[in-house]
Amino acid sequence: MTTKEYNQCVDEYADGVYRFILKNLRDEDTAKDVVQDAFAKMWEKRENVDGKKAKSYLFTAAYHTMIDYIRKDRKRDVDDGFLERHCTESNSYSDLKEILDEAIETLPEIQKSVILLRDYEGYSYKEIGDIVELTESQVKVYIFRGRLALKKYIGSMEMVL
Amino acid sequence: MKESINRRNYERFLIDFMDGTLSKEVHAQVMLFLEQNPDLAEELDGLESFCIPDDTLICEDKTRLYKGIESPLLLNEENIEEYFIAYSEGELSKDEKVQVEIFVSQNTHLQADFIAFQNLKVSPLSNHPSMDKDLLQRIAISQTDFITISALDTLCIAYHENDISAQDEQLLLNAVAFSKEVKQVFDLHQKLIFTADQNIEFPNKFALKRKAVYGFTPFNQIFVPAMAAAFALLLMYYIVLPKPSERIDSLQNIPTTLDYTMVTPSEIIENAQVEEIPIEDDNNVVVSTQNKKIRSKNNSLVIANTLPNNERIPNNSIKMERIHVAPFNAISVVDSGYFMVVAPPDQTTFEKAMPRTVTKVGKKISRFFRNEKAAIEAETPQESMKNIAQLALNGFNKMTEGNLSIAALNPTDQVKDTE
Repeated sequence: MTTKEYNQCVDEYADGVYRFILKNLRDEDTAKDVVQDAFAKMWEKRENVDGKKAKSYLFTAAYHTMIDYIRKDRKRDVDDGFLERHCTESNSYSDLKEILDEAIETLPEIQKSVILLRDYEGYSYKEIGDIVELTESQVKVYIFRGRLALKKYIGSMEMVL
Repeated sequence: MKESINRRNYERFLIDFMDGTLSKEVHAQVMLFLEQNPDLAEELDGLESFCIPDDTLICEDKTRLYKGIESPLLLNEENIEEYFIAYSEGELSKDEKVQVEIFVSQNTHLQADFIAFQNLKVSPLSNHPSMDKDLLQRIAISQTDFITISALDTLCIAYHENDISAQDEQLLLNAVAFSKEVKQVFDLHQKLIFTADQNIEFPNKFALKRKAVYGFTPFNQIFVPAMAAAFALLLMYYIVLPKPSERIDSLQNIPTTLDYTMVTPSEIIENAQVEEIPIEDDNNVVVSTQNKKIRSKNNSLVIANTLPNNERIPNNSIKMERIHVAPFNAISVVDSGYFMVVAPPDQTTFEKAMPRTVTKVGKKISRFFRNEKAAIEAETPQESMKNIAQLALNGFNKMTEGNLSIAALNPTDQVKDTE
C-alpha cells in the first residue's frame, strides 16, 4: 500500500470507521482512540496491506480493538449526552431513531456489530464474517436474531409513531 | 342469702372450684361437702383430668397464636430447610414468609443457612422460558393462505437483507398488498434498517494524514527539510539569478580570428574534432579541437587571440563555473572553433609536470562534466591530454555561454601553478 493510498483511506474511511465504533461504544473519546489505533496499525503494516482491502483491514482492526476495550472495561459509563448531541434530525424521525438507538443497545455486542456493519457499510455476510471472525452462516443468523429482537423491542408501529 | 351447696346444685360449685374462682368461705364449704359425699369427690377427680395442670408450660407452637396469621406453620429445625427452599422459590404466602422470618430471628444459628438458601435463587421470573407466540399466531396473506408471524418476520428480514428468493419475494409483496396487517409488519422491518448519521465525522482526520505522510522517522526528519531547502535554492537560482543564454554551439555571429592559423595542424588525432598541433617554437604542444563553436561571453578572448601563443596562454585562463583551470602546462584556451590544451615546453618538463597536472585538471573536468575517470587514465600524458580535450569539448557543448568566461590570470597564481 502506498502513502497515497493510505491517505485516500483516511479521507474515505475514517468517518465510517468512527461512526461504527461510536455507535457501538457511545463514547467519543474512546471511539477516536480506537480509530487512531486502527489507522496506526494499518500504517505499520502498510507494506503488507493491499490497497483494495484496506477498508476491510481498517474495520477489522477497529473492531478487534473495540472488543478488547469492551472486555477490559465492561463497566464503562455510557455517555448520556451522546444521543442529545447527535440526534439532530427532525422531531418526527428522531423518535424512531431514539427508539432504535435504545433497541440496539439491548442487543448482544456481536449482534449489534454485525447489524451495524451490514447497515452502515453494506458489507456482505462474507465480509462481515472476515471482520468479526465468524462464518457466513453465523453472521446471517446473528443478523436475523438481532433484527427479530429489535422488532420485538419496538413492538408495533403504534409504538414507533 | 347465699346459696349453699347440695347434691342438686353441686356441679356449678365444682366447676368454679376447679377454676379456683370461689371465695375462701365457699371453697371451705365445697371441701366439706366433698368429704361428706365421697361419690361426688370421685366425679371431681374425673373432671380435673381435663384441666391444664401447670401454668408454667410453654406453648411449642407460638406462631399459631400470632395475630393475623391465617395458616400457622409447624416450624422446627428438622423441617426448616424445606421452608427455606419454599421461601426462596416464592412458594410461601406472605403470612408464611413472616413466620419463617420470625423463626429465623428467634434461632440466630439458622440465619446463615437461611441466607445461603436465598443466594441459591436461580433466576428472576422474567427470564423463565416461555412459548414464543409468534410461532403460533397466524396472519392471512391471501384469501386462502395463512402464515405464522414468525415466518412473516423471516420473509421481511430476508427481503430487506436482499437475501430472498424470487418466489418468496413475490409471495411477500403479494401479502403486503393483500393485508394491512402484513404491510405494517413489513414497514416495521424496513424501519429497523440503520442509517449512518453523515453529520458525524472523525474530528481529527488531518492528524491521521500527517502521521501517515511524514511519519516522523529519523530519515524523513532530515530528508524532507533538506529537499525543501534544495528546492528553494533551485527556485532562487532560476528566478533571481540571470537565466543562462543559449547554448554555445548554437550561437550566431561567432567572431573568428586568424591567430590560430599560425598553428599548423600536424595530424588529425583519432577524429576530426581533436587535433594535436605543435606550435612554432616547439616549446608547447597544443591540442585543439576544430569546428566547435566555443567562446566566452566577454571580449577577453579577442585579447587572448591577439597575443602570441606564449603570452596569451599564461595570461588567460578559463573559468568553467566554479572550476578554475590554470593555463600553464595543461590548459584550455578558447578560440572561436578551437579548444586548445597546451603542454609544457619540453619533454622532461612535460613528463615531470604533466602527470600531476593532467591528473589534477582531469579530475576537475571529469568531476565537472560528470564523466568517467577513465578519461585521464591513458598510457601517456599526451593521450590523457587528448582525452581531456575531448571530454572538455563534450562538456563545453553542454554548457551555456553563461557558464564560461575567460579572465586574466593572477601572476601569483601562475607562479604557483608553475611550481
